[in-house]
Amino acid sequence: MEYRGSGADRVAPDLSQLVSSVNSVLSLSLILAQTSTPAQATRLVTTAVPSIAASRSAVAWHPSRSGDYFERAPDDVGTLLAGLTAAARLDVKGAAACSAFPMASPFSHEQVFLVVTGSENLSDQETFLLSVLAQLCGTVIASQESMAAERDRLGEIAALNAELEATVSTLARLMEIHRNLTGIGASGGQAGIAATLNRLTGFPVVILDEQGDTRLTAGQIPADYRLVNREAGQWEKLARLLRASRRAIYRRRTWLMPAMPQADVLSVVALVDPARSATETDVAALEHAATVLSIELARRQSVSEAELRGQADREREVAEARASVLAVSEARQRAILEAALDAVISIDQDARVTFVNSAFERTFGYRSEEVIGRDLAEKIVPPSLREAHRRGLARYLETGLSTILDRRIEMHAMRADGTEFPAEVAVTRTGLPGEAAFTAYVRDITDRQRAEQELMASRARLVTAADAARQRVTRDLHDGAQQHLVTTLMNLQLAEQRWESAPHRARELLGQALEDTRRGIEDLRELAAGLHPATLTRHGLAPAVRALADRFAVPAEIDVPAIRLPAPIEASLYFFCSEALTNVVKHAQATRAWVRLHIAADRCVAEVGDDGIGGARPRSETSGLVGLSDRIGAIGGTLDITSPDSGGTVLRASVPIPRGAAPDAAPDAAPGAVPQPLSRRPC
Amino acid sequence: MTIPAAQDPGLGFVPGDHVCAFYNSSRNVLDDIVVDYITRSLQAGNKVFCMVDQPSTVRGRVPPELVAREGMLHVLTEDEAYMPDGSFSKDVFIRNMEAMARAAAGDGYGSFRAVGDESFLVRNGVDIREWFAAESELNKIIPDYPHFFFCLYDLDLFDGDTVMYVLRTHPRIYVNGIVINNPHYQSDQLSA
Repeated sequence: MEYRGSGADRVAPDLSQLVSSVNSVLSLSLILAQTSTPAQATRLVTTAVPSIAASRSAVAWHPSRSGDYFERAPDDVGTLLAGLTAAARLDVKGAAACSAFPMASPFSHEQVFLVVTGSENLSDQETFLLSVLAQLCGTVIASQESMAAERDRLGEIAALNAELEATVSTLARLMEIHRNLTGIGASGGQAGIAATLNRLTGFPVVILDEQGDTRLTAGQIPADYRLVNREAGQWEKLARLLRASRRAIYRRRTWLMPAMPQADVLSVVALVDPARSATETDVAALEHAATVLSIELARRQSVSEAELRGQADREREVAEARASVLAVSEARQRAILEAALDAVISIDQDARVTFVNSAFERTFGYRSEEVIGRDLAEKIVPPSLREAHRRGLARYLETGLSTILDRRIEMHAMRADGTEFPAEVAVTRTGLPGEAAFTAYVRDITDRQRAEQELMASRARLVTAADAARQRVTRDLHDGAQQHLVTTLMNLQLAEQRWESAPHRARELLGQALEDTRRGIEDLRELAAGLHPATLTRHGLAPAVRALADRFAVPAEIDVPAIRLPAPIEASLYFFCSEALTNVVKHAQATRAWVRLHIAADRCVAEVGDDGIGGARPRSETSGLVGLSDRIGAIGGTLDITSPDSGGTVLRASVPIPRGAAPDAAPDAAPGAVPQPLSRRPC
Repeated sequence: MTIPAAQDPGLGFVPGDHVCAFYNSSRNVLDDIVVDYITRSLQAGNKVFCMVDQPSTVRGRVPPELVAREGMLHVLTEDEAYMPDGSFSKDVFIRNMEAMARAAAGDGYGSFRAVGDESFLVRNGVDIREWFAAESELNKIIPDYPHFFFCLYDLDLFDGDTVMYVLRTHPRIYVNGIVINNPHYQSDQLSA
């Protein structure tokens, strides 16, 4: 029931008592303002009520619940209090008088009432004072709650500020860490990272590699410090843990942080902290250092890979350049080999043919496609030599020993048609180390061997001819001049014995001796005609040939220029003329003969002809014509014989004049004669 | 009210004042009030008698250079000051206060200033009526001396009924840093 007061209650009290009561409320209100909490204020008010309204007691009640400065009203009272907005008397069972005063204020959130009970109802003055006091208390409480909320907010702000300051401080510290660590740059490397982390945190720093080996340290590592026992497999276990960790972990008196630039690369940065006194910032520095280390490791790996790529590029370029040069070289070599006159065959270490040139095709009768990739021995080595060829190649490949490499040897080779021919072969190794290959240069020496055989035969005939000539001279001297000289000596001795007794007979004997002497001289002259004449040596070919012709019965026309040739050529041509003129006298039945000689380019051509019966043929190796051919061939010349059966014979010897041996004029061959062009100068 | 600067302890006190103040121990402001009062009193050249439960704390916060003379600052615990014989006696207390005030005047101090925390009342179960009889008695001797009595009550310890006694026995109240007249003061209150 709302309190309205009665007329009797509004009787004016004693003025001094009223003033005193008002003063007490005013003074109490001053103290109420000093309270610090709603509970303190409520306690002050409820306990002060007996001083304001004698014999009364007071409580702070809430209609439906209890709080830190009020209690829940009994249900019956709570029902009465609910919705109450002004002071009111309450009819409560068990209480003679009960009044409720709202502790309300514009700022209050609670429906709390100052409930005063006593034996009699409050007077109007008391009701007014308690209403004021309750309102003041409510206002104070609202103010305190507001201030408390403000304090809380201020506290929150202060806490936020403190937290912000701490965050800013941490950020500043982290920025410093970041600046210090990232400022290391490429020049600092891992040592710079370790040194910087040591300087930032003050803890000794260790950087370990993937095997747990210490790569480097910074700061003073305790003497007894040991991270793991490698032999006990502790590192492998720790490494697995670190690989799975994205934050620093504390193990074995050490803060550890993995640095993994790649999933399969592990490096570890460690702060040695036996007392575990590292701050959060120190650990952040460790983690940041590990990040920088990861970057550094990645950078180094990138540089290494770039260097490797660069090196590979350079090696590839060099290889390409070499290949290019090699290709050019091989092309040039193949061109050279292709143009070579000798057959060239290249094989690999399995004796398979890899290259042949054109000369090979000409020499062996194969086309290149018929032999490329085929076994060399099957193609060009005669069956009788194949096994030896294969054994030799195998021995070389096994021992490096060879009897044919880098030498010129003569052996038989086999053509495509199966015929064999003598060949000069030079074999060289051309393959790279570890890839044996061989190249053979093959020259068909069939013609050369034939020429050599002919030369040998020619030399044998010359020796035989020389022996025959010596025997002929011996026989001629014995049978001719020697017999005449012996007879002359005998006739002169007989003539001396009979000079006194038979002068006639002595004269006949002197006459016979004279005749024998003439015959002896004639025999010696003929004999001398077959020997090297002194005239040839002293005056040259023209006078010698002229003197030679004078001794023959067949008249000869001589057309030989007055020149000097090298002595071997003059001698050979002299004997050529002598033998040819002798044959004219002996066999040609000619009436005339001629001797002509002229110089043509670098050759000297001598010709002896007659008008005889012709039909001259070399009959045997000992015949005169064969002897002439050998003599001319001995100085590199050739002999042509023209002797038809119809008559007439011409022998023509063509002799090369060696370079630098140009013919000289022979002034003493014809005293007073003026040298003329060789071809026009008659002798 | 204007008071001479030499006598003004800086808080609005006037000679002969008997002032009460209320504080909250939970806020730990007692030391601040006491130290401020002592400091200003010493600066004014007065003798100071302090009765608190933490004398060393107070003494430690007062600048020592302000204690110009031996005995200028006298700090005791509440029990030592209020109950020198082990129990509180209004008469003994009043005599001691009068003796100290006279001694201070005799020692040439311009004023005697006492400050005390009355928490000992609750702690020792002192009869409230006897105590406030002593508080009323102080009002009778104060006008004879240029002294200041400053009484401190903890709102965390004392209830409203006790507070009303305090208000009836102290002519002036120290509120929010200033001293104002107490309208509820009753000069004839409580004679033991």
